[in-house]
Amino acid sequence: MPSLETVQHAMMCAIDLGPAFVREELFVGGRARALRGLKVHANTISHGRLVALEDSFPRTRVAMGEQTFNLHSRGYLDRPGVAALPLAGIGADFAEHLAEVRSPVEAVDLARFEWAWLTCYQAADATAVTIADLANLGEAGLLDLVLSRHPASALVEIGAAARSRLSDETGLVFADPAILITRPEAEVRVMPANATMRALWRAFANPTPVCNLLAMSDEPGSEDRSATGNLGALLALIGAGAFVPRRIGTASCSDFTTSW
Amino acid sequence: MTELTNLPPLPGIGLKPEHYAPLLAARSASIPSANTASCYCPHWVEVHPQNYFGAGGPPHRWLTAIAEHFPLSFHSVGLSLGSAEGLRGDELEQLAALCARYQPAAISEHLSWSGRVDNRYPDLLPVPYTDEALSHFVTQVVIVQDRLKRPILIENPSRYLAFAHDEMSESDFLHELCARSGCGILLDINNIEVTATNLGLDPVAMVDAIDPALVGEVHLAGHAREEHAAGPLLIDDHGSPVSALTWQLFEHFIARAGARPTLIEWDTDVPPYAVLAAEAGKAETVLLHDRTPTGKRTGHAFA
Repeated sequence: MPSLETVQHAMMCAIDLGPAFVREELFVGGRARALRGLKVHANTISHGRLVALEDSFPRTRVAMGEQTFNLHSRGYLDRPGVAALPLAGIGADFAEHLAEVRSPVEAVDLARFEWAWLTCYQAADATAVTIADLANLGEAGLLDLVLSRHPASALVEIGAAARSRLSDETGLVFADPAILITRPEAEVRVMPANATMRALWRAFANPTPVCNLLAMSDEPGSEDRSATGNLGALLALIGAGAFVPRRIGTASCSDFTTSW
Repeated sequence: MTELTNLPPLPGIGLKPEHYAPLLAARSASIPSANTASCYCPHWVEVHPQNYFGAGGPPHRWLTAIAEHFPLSFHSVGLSLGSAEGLRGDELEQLAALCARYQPAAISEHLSWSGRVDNRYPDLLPVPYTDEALSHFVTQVVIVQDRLKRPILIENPSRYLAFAHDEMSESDFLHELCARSGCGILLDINNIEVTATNLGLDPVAMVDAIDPALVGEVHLAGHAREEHAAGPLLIDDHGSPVSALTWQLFEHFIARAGARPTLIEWDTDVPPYAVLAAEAGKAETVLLHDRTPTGKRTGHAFA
């Protein structure tokens, strides 16, 4: 009698490699019945993975066309490691795959955007700091405020074609290559991010005191190198729900460093 | 006896995102003593916990709101209890965390396996009904129950294959599993119809072979049908109304067992809420017509 491991290994070989690997002696009813049953399972598995990709990348699918999307989806599912992913995470490297097979830049960009969107959608909830919070802090409190990125936020840089498609969908103008995605509450927000916002967002990867902004005017990497410009960008990011407070009233500017 | 479920012996529905808002609206509109098909409100809801393994976001907000009004049942599809290499520990930890967060009234999994750790199948494959597979499955169920600190229900599978070296029937396998592990049975009557048709078995005999005292929940769903030269092939796709035969088998089982928590599952081509609610209303009609020998409405199996 074959062991459980033997039976399962044989079934996986048949499902993954095709009818030539079916061991009909394991099943009741002969080869035709075994083939019929194993085909149901093979179809279910393939369908489940393909639908998970379709659901994760609806805009990419439209941009590529269904046939091309399905072709590249099948190629992606054959990549080492992809089959080990749960369905919810199966699209993690899809954009990278599209880039490797030289798909149009628009498709690669849209896939990157859509995965970032999905990641924000499912990320941990947290209370974002708001403009009203800042108003209540006063000047001293504001200088002691330490912020970091909201767990449900992302910044993606994409090309003009993908931005144009997103502009058509959202009605927003994405003049700069960066798009900020945030989900401070239930709803995912998308907004353009200029170079200063981009630099600030990167700087707040780790908990960082707001007072460090004041030193930014001497730092390279920001197009608007004034404290006023930084403050404007910071307020725009806070308004979008991109930050969470980490510490209030205990930070010293000398405790932190930023890399611009 | 330890309770296997705290669900009421009434209909529930499989919760889909498109039904979040209509369900809460139905809850607001429903009058407990006058449920009608047009505004029918189920008594509990079931979700696949894997759909809520994300840390946060709208799915959790909805589920939290719904859990304020409905008992929850977690119907896991990812533990792969029958895999020879053992269950998926990462999934079990995520399931445990979700159970701690929502305190579901019931937890269930499948009598199946789903590939290996390096090749996860989004499917529920059958296990051979052998002593070795039984011992293995008992061990895995005990691991889950020890981790969750509560008994779970195991669902009979839809089968498209029968193994040549089976040593016992499906019902014997399930009964022995329950006896050795302390778990209960989630009796999916659509799966009975699918399996019986595909493998040439008698569906009534399969239902009659199940000990109702072990059944903590019932599932009803639709299936797809393909015609082949060798005979019809039923595919358990949960994409259509419950079939006439499954309704008959359900009535037959409830007449013998008494009312049980009964779920209407609809996972593909999900219909408007009203269609799902009408199916649940139909199930309620069956559940409220007590035909047990004692002539009184029975509570659920382990109340």
